[in-house]
Amino acid sequence: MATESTVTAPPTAVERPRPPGSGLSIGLARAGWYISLTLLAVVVLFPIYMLVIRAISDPISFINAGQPLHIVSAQWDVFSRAWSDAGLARAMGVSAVATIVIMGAQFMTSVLGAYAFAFLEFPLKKLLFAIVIGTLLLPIEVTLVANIQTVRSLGWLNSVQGLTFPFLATALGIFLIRQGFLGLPRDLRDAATLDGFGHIGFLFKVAIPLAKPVIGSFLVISFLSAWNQYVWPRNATTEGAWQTVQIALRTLTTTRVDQINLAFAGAIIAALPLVLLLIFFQRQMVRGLTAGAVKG
Amino acid sequence: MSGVTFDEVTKRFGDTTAVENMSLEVADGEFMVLLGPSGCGKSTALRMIAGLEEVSDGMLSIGNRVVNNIPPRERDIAMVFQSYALYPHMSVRKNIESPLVANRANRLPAGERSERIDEAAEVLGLTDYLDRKPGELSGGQRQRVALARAIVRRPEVFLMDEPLSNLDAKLRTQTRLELVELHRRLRTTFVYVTHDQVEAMTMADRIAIINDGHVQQVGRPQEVYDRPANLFVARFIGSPPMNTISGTVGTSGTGGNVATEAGVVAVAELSGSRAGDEVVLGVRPEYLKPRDPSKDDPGAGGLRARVENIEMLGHERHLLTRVGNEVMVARLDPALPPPSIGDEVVLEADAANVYLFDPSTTERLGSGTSTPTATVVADG
Repeated sequence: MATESTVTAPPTAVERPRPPGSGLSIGLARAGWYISLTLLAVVVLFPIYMLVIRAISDPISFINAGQPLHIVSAQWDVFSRAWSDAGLARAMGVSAVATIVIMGAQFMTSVLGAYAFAFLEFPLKKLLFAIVIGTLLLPIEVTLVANIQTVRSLGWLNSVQGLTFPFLATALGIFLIRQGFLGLPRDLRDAATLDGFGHIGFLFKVAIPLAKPVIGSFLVISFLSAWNQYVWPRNATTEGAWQTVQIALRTLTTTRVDQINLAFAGAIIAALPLVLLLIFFQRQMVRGLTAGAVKG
Repeated sequence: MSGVTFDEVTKRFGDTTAVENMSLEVADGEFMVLLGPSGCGKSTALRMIAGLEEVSDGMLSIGNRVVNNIPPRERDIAMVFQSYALYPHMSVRKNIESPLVANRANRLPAGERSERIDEAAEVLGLTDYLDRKPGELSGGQRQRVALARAIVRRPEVFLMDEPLSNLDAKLRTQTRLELVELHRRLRTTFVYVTHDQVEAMTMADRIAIINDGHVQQVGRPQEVYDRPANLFVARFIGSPPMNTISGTVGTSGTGGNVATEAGVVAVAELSGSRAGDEVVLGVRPEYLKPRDPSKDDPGAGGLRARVENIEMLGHERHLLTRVGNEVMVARLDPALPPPSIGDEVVLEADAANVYLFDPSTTERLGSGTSTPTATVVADG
């Protein structure tokens, strides 16, 4: 009797009747999503998995075993050998210095450029902004020869300035941070003007703290591109002492063909700072990249 | 403390003129409300006082100082914004402190800053919230932080740009009283912009009614209600607004009358108009009374109307009627039995409280010389 009354009870406001089969279809849709995302994750993670397998396996044994999907004759000391053979300590040091200089300079130039384009009125503002954005369309290869000539004539080959000079300002940073600044309400700027903040005061006390998510995500992008640079340092350095980490990896690949797993191990070591960065700042990165897309 | 003087001030944005030849004197310590519909130029006028907009023409003074070319931070003014404009990343204390530290040149010593912040927080009941961020406060509290940030600098002039618009009705009434109290306590010049005539009527010492970039009338609240300078003011001030209808002047006995398409209205004072003149007749809702036409003497005056709706507000009723092409509203005593919707009635205007306007200039006829005998309530 009790069961019957439960079954025939009219649906309450909380338990609204569902169309028949909707529970099943929601379950199926969810399962579909999980399957697709799992497949996608496999596609993305498989090369990384193979990198680890090949780094740890003895290269000759691995090939003889028919390149299986598991470790063959593990060589656990491969990471320490790669670290010392490729001179990764020094190369990572050079990369770190260049990256920090580039990030710091890009932060300053982007913030100042963005401020001008967001808040100041000056002649030809739109045209100048279009030109700045236009530089985004030029890949590094287009300006490479001319820039190398300039750096060479300045005597900056094999130097921090040589490694960093062409990257001290970037249109992407100006654009992204400008979007962040444009999202600040006009009243806030007016209030700051009346309070007595000058340009620098408003920029550092109000605009930058409020645009932190966008600036943070830009700095992550800036770090990634500076750390991963290959073409420019390849041309701007001629001495081994000025090798950046990516050049050192390349050298390892070409000079130790019989020990190719050293190159794989080196690649893993070189990627560690990036992995850590992404783990700690992934939320910031996504938030910053979508900022300005929807006006809040 | 200082007053503010607009001397034929004009503000143009490209081809658009937002404020034209505005002359207005705000006395020292006065609570002046700039009232008008949106886009009338009232906020532009306020922003010119603040220095956030440049003056295109004319002279703007604060006290005895012409401020046309003086930067905002040197004008000794404080402004409260509709959106509060608080710094979301700073605590309430830092927000209130910001005008005292932003300008390095005249930064106060820390002890005095702290004293002033505590005093402002005390006045506005914010002492317990000083360490919170604006995001953790309610709308009313945020508005009080904005006010505290304004009073902490002890400016010569307070500027307020629709500061109550983002508050709910109850909080708005409460904050209105607090603002009046604040003005009484500080005795500083307030210039307050709003489109809400209730705010203007309840708070202002004087109201400047603005439309299309021009000042239409400046006067005490009761004065602009009783003696509107033109049709715009007549229709803008008062809720419900003044009823108006076109007609032609006729004469009868001692007074006169105005013949409209819906009937003849007796007028006690013709304000200089002559028989045959075209006029616009205006009468406030409280001076219109409905009458049952079936009990009428033949030939009795009044406007034939049809009841379209009745709004009950508790303390009064509004009778919305159709008179020819116009909608006219009569304010009724709720104790009296109202007519029903759809009834034909005759609206009788109190002859002593009928206004006449020139249809071509829209000015009230006899402005300044002869006025209707509306009760003048002492205002303060």
